[in-house]
Amino acid sequence: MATDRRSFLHAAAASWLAGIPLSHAAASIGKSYYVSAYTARAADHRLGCFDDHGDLVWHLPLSARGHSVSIHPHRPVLVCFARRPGRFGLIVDLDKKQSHSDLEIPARRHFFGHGVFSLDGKFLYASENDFDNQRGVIGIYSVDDQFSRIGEFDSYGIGPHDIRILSDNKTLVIANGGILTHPAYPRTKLNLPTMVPSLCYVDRESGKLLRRIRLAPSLHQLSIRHLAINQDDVVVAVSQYEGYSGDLVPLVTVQDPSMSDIQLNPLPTPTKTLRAMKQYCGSVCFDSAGRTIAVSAPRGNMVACWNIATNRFITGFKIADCSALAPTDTVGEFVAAAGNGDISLINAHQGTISALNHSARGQRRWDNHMTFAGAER
Amino acid sequence: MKPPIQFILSAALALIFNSYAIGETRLTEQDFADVNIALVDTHILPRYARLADALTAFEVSASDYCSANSDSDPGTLRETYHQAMDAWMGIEHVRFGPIELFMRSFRFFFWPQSRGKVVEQLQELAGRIDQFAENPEQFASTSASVQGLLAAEALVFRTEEFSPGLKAGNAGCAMLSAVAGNMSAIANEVIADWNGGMMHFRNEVQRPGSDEALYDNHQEVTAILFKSLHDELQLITEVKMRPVLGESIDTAKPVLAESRPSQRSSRNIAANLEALQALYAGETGAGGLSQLVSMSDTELDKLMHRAFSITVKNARSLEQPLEVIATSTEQRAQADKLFLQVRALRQIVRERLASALSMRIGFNTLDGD
Repeated sequence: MATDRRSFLHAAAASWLAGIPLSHAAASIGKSYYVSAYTARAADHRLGCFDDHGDLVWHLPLSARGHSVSIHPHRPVLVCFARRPGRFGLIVDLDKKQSHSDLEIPARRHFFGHGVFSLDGKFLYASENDFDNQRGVIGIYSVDDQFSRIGEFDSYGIGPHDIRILSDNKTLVIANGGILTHPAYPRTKLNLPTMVPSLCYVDRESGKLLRRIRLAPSLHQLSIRHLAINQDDVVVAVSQYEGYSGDLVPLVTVQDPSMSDIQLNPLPTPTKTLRAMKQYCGSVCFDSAGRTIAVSAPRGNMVACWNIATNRFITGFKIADCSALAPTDTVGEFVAAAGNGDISLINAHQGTISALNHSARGQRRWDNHMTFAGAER
Repeated sequence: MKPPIQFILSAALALIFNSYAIGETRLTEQDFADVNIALVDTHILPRYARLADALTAFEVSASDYCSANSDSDPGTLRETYHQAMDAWMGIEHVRFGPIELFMRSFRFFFWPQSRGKVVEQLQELAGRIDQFAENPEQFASTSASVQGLLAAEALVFRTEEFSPGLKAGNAGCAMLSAVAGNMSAIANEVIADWNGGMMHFRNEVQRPGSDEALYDNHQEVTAILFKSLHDELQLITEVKMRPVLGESIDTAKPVLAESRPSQRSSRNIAANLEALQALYAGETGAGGLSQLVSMSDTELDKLMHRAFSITVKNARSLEQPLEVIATSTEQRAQADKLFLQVRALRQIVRERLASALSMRIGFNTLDGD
């Protein structure tokens, strides 16, 4: 799960490094930490935490590829979700750096790879597949009740993927990618001719649909998959296109609650950049100020940045096979971890890219998403 | 589940020695360009032409069958269907270019999809098939499920499920005529868009790099051809074989096999692998991706030829459809062996072929989420 402004702040409030108080403050002088799944060898899958030198601090084994990580807003706990159609949701105690349990998901469901905590930290919501009925659901897990699954509600679409929460602590934002899958054909897309993606706002208490945003019919193969939200509840939605590879489609869109319309509006993107993104966004996150976004396009070996406040494209960086992104505590700055093991630092405003740590090249394949996990004060 | 020991050893060696020395020869843009256009002219276009011819023959035999007496032998009709399917399975791996437009790939063959959907939608279509009599081109806008080879298969092989069956002037024959004519039209559109029209895709392959070009350079086109090879191998193992075979004979699911009504699931896999072998080795033993690999990694090239030879031979030797073999104590081992071989082939392609072609195929790029 790409880190957004809110989880950044909440993660910073966590204090999981052996009692060292953490904070997100511009003046933080200690180390920052990031977590992401990675694969060390062919089938050696792990969850890893590295510091702001890119040095691995700890790692835990995973039974299969992990996808994203959700960090509890107040406690030293994170949950690492399996990549679809996986069934593990590893609960990790960050004080002990170990996993003591797993989310229990019903037999006729599997995870889609993302989840989000309520802002009060009482509940965890996970995107899941009710594959028998070809519908997406959001599983509800009670944190205080040992993460037991206490229910579910409709995601109001097929193939929910990323999920976020607004500042009202009530409204979930769900990217229904629209792609039908079934564990019988684990990673095969079964409905590409008829898929209908949507961005749905759902009341997490009642499970009621508050708002559904759909794309124009001509864009029905534009699968909305990943989200980032800032302090003003501006939602950035990035997509993967399943149609003709030569089409130019809005891969990066924004929904601004201060605007009167309720559409997903494309962020202006140079044609050359859009084409170079190869119809595929891997992840998205806001910077620490909540004004700049970074979007990874691993198939295009690129990370591109926009200023949301001015609605302008800033620049693109050439980074091979990079999907995982997270903000640092410097405005406009992001950490980027790639499939070849390289960890880089990019600064959108200065237009600079530098090697944070390239010593693990070829040894760690950083997976799709990275989460900022706090900074020492 | 024992594949030939030599092959497995080779595959294991290929995988273990991941850093196997690559020759000094550096592939040039001209090297990529030569292979790309050769593959278009000798592999892709001829195979689409074969598909178009086979679909024309199917259209003719459908017309003949529906003009004849109601109890005529469907043998010729079914045989022309098989020829058309052989032709499609021989080009299914090409997922780029004109086939991407207007859902053409799905309109030819929309698989996998939920069971019974084709029949269900055909039943619904039967009630309104007359509306296409005067405007057959509108048939192209109906559900992809009823437009292509799966619909044709249901009409030709599952006649008992449509109460009127296939009889001159009835809804079954009207649907068959619409489906066959539509498929012929799609095949001809694909060929036209490769050779001219708005896309002129042969030019896209031949002349990458301009501002408006789809591809930046020749190597990128080769990467698309590489992906065609890799992704079809993945489709064979992950969609066509693994779900059917299950972990063991006890967990096999014959119901998930491709082309069950026409009982040609094994034949499909053999046709797919023969086509991939031709993509790699060239249609006449030259001009394929091998031409590039032989310049950079001769050992890998030998391994690829050998792996294809063994795998294709084994696929051809399957005498029953996969759904039968999957639950047969006598034959099951042969399918398991084929599965392992195709999977090993895919691993070699993924782990070694990419580097031999000077490509960076990233962890996050091959199978994203």
